[in-house]
Amino acid sequence: MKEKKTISPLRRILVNCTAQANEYGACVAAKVPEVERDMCLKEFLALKTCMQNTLRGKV
Amino acid sequence: MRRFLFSQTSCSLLRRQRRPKDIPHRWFISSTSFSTAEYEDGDAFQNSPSKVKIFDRHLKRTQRQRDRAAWLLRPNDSFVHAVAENLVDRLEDCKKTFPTALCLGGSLQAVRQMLRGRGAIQKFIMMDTSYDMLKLCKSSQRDSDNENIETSYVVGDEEFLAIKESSVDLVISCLGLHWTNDLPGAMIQCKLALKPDGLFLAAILGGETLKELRIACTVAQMEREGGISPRVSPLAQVRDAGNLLTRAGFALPGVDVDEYVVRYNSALDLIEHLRAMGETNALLQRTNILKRETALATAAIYDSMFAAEDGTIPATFQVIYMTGWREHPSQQKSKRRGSATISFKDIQKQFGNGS
Repeated sequence: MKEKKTISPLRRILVNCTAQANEYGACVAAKVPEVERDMCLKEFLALKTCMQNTLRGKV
Repeated sequence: MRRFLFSQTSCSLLRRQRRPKDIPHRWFISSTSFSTAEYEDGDAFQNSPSKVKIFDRHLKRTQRQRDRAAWLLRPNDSFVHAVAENLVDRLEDCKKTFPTALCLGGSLQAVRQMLRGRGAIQKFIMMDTSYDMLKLCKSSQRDSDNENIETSYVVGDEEFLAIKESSVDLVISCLGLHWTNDLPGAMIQCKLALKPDGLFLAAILGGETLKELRIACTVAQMEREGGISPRVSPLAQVRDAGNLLTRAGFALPGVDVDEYVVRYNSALDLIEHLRAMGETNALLQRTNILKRETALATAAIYDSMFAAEDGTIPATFQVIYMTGWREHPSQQKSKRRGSATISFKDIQKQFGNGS
């Protein structure tokens, strides 16, 4: 059993990048029935940079 | 063989080789080999036995699935307990007692905890494909209050039931059968294991389960990768449950559905809960790769599409409860055609027309 609860990287990312995640989510949710590849690329790139910053910052 | 968190992979290899000798046949010897190929029951359209493989049963059993769930299992998982309670409650509706009971995979511990003497069970056989899960049940047996029940533990596969024919009064399966490749076959074997006038109780997850997760995964994958791969397993529909019971040959079938909406703080909590229950993906068709971006996208989309005002996300679990009895002359049957003694006209005269 794990004594210390290690926070998984994904969880840390979601906690740090809530704003970008919300924007990305809102972008996709608005266009839901017609989903195409990379249709919310801008928002996702913002989320991705935040994710990389989080991982680099902590690691 | 002591098993710890870090020596996972080597132990699973060992166990794979030892498996045929692993099954302790202490109480029951299988009289015939219950391969589903023999039970087509005159199905004229199928010449070959259905050996559809949808789930990777081996993966289900190993570290990443049931065994992991055995260590992660929360003793007070409210969802699993609610389902087990609901299922075991049905025993109270029967006047009959069930001295011998077989519990097939799924949430064994929850069933035993919720049992509390219902159905007057004296001998309890717990069966699971995962050795670790059984060890956990065995170790927690001392804490439970069911001391007068004789419990035995069998490591076995639901699709190859190693139980002697007509030997148990009751078969319970709580959230275990939706991972079988051949559900009708498994149910037929359960029926054969039952004594005449024996009861089969099962709770399986239905088609509506995790529909939010399914939608979020699909949308995220379409947006990020341009294609989709199955992430949620195919689950039985309610309308098929009745057919399954009659096909297996159960008399007096009964099906009812319950929908539980469980709230989580985030999509990651949902996935952790699924891991703890041993319900993570085991489709043969699955892609092993889940890119971090796609996972992130899924979590973000799940939040935005389905979040409630307080920030929690719902997840639907549709549970289908099935009950069936093995045939016995004492059960009521539908009357023969032409044996009616009163016509509807007489009834109408009695009760007045038009209402």
